[in-house]
Amino acid sequence: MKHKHSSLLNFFTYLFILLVSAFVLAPLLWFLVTSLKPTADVLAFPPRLIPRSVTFEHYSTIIFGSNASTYFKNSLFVAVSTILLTLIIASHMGYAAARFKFIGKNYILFGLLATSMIPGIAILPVLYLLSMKLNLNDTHIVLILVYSAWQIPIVTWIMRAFFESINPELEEAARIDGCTRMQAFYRVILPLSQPGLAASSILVFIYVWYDWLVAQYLTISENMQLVNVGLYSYIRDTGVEWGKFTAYSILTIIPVIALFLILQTRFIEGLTAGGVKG
Amino acid sequence: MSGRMGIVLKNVMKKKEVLYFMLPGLLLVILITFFPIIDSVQFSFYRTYYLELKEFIGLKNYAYFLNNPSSLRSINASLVYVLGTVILSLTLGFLLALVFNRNIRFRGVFRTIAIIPWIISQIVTALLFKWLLDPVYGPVAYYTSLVSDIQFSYLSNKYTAMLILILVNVWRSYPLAMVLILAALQTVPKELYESATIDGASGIKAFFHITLPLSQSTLLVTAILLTINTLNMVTLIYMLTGGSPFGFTEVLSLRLLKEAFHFWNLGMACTIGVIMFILNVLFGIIYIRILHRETIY
Repeated sequence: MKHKHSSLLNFFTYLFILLVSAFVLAPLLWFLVTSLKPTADVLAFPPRLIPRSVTFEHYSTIIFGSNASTYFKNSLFVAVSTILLTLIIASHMGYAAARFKFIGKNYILFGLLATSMIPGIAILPVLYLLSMKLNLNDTHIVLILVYSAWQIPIVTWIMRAFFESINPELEEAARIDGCTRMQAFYRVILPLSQPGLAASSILVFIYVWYDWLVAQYLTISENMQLVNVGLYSYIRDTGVEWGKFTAYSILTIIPVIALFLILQTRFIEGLTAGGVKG
Repeated sequence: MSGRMGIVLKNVMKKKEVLYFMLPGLLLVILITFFPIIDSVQFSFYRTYYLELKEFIGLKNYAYFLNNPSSLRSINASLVYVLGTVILSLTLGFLLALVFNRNIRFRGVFRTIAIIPWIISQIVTALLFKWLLDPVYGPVAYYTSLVSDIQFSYLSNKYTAMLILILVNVWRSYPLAMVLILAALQTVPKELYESATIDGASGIKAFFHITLPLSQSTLLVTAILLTINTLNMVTLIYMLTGGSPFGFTEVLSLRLLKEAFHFWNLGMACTIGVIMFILNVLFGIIYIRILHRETIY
């Protein structure tokens, strides 16, 4: 009796995860198949789930026949700059929070956490106005500053937790050897913090790479745009060309999926920590 | 903390050092997050013309917004969207976490698949489903047309548009719930289940008496995170329905975007922004309370 019961449970468990896997994979496969179909087949009726032939024409049109390469370069530049600025600033704050005692520390820490819950869309109109006033509108600098300011709070919390897990005796030893507090931080602690820095970098990278909202409204010129703004304009300006749309879309998510498959654990750490600001 | 640690700490409490470590970050956050919040609140009390402040009108923007039937529809849409997403994502995430907490075959592969939607951008997620549900060329429309001989446009129907929007958002939101709940389940000591089995309580009973109570605070935290994310989400909705049909999916965040960047109505945009702040603060306070209880020692 008992055995029967558990094998029934097993059956439903596998049925359930197979259904979920289908729910996840079906839209993705339909997308992937479309991107590899010849244009004539994309709009075939009834829809062809398995293409008659495979072609990379849509990918080559996007890579060589559109501005996508400029957008990819822009996104890479903005993402790397944001990662550097955010990590430098947030690791300092996280360190101070982990090791120093000072007045108002808890207020600052929870104040920071509270800012990471501020809806970006709610202050975007004012930021737009501010960027116009400062003549920073339509520059990459304004994007880097906004992205950094919005990611610093959560990365500070990640780094603080990380530094707290490092034994303080390491710094003590360095201090006894004649290092100043700052030297001990730069030479001993930071090099030990690579896992925390890696998880944070992934979080920031995905945030910047996937943002559409901020980049859409704080940049105007064609040659300033980031990948998702480019994707959106491409879809808006081109007639219905699902072969090309799907190819373009897949190109934008490939870097992230590759990172995910290579660094799964770190990736999930970073994403979980960033759960607040998706 | 040991006595030696105390000596080191005394050495480092110099003001200059604290400033060196904290000041750049604080300045950036104050400049780009705090000041704009204050500005937004201020602008919400003004009549604006394009991007210019005209005269102070007190709470008139709020009165106008709250007396407008389309605003109530937006609030209602946000509420339905958030509740639907949170309930479905939590349920699906919980069920999956329970499955992956067991020793099933191919656990790693299935878990990787289940996480995938989390790492796909909102804009691409919207396109995925737009194409899947395309009323002319999409497979869903084709196969339903075989059964019902009408080609149904899910995204332009008043009743199904919001449902699809919620399902699509669940598609990309449940992995967060799954990962957080799975992490919580893994901290539940196995001995508890063993002793429960000895006492004759297993399966469903053990779930209600051990699993559920012990993952309570994780569930609450996850619910709040999902609420905040969903309430503030713009891109997915903008790309999938853009608020149509007839504003039925025009949630607060989307309405804010339109007031600001389509109609250039800064005062009204900031008014909606302040309403959203308040909602976020309410949820945020609960979130921080739980976190405070758990991390401060």
